[in-house]
Amino acid sequence: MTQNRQKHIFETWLNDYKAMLFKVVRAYAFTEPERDDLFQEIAIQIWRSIPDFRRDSAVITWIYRVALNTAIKWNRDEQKYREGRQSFENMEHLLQKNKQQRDDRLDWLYDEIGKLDEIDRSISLLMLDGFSYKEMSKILGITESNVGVKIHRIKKHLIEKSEEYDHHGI
Amino acid sequence: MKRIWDQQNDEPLYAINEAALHRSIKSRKERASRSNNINDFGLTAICIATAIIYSIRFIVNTTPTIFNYLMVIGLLFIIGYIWYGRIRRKKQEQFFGHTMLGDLNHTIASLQYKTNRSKNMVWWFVVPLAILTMLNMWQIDVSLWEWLGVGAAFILSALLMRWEYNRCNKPRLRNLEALRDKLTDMNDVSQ
Repeated sequence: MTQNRQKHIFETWLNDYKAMLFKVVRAYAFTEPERDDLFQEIAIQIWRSIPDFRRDSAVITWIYRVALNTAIKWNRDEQKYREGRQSFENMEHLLQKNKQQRDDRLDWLYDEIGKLDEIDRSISLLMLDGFSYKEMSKILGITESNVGVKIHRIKKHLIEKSEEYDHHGI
Repeated sequence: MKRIWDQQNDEPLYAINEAALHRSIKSRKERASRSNNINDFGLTAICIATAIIYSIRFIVNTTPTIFNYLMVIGLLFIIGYIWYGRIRRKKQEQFFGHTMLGDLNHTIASLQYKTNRSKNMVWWFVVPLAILTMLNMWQIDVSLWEWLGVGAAFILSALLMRWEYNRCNKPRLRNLEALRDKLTDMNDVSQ
C-alpha cells in the first residue's frame, strides 16, 4: 500500500468516524491534555492498522476495536510507562473544543461510564452506539453470551444510577 | 439514554487540528520503527564488531588462545539466537485475531518475548561473554585493576538487565494479563 493511499484512507476514516472517536476519548481520558494524548495514540494506532484492514468486517467495527483497545491499554499502563513520548506540557493540541450548548445529562452519562472498569466502559460505548451482541462479540473477542451477561449488569447499574440522578430516570 | 447519547453524532464535541496530528503521527512512526529494531540490530552489531575485533587479533597475534576462537564461535551463536527469536516472533504475529482479545494477546506475546529476553539475557549473553573474556584474560598477563574493571562491568550490566526486567517489563506484563483475565473471565460477569 502506498503512503498516499494510506493517508487518503486515514483522512476519510478520521472524517467519517471522528464523533465515535471523541466518545472513546471522552470516556477514557478526563482532562484536556489527557484527551489530546489519547486521541493522538488512537489516531496513530488507526494509521498503523490500515494495511491490516481486510474488509471482512465493517470499517466502523474495525475502528471501534482499534480505538477501544488503544484506550484500554492507554488507561492501564500508557500513562505509567510513557515510553519516549512527549510530556503533556510539550504536546501540541490536537483537539479544539467546539462551542456548543452542553447537555448536563450527557455529562452525567459520561461521568457514570467513567466510573466503570475499562472493559465495561467499552461495552457501554458499544451498547449506546447500537452495536448488536454479535458485532460486540466480534470486536471484543468474547462470546455473545458473555457479552449479554455483561450488558445486563451494566444496564441495571446505569438505570439505578439514573434514578438517583433523576427520580423518573433518564 | 440512547437519545442523549446520539446528540454527539450531529454535533461533534471537538475539531481536529489535522496539521498537528499528521506531524505527531510521522514522528511517532519513525520513533517506533527505530525502537523496534534497535534492540535486535544493536545487539547484532555489538556481537559482529566484537567478533571482528577478535578475528583481527588472530591475524595480528601469532599465538591466539583457544578462548579467542571460542569467543568468536560464542558470538556467532548469540547472533543466531537473536535472529532465531526475531524470525519466530514475526511469524507468531500473523496468528492473532483481529479482535480486542486478539490484540491483547498480541501485545502480551510481544511483551512476553521482550520480558523473557531481558530475563534470560544474563544467561545467554552476559555470562558466556564474561566467562570467555575472563578465561582469555587468565591466559595473558593482566593487572588486578583490569580484572576488577572487567568484572565490575559484567556485574553492572547483569544488574541493569535484572532491573529492567523487574522494574519495567514484569509489572507491565502482569497488568495486561490481568486485563485479559477481566475480559475473558465468565465468573466475573455471572456475579
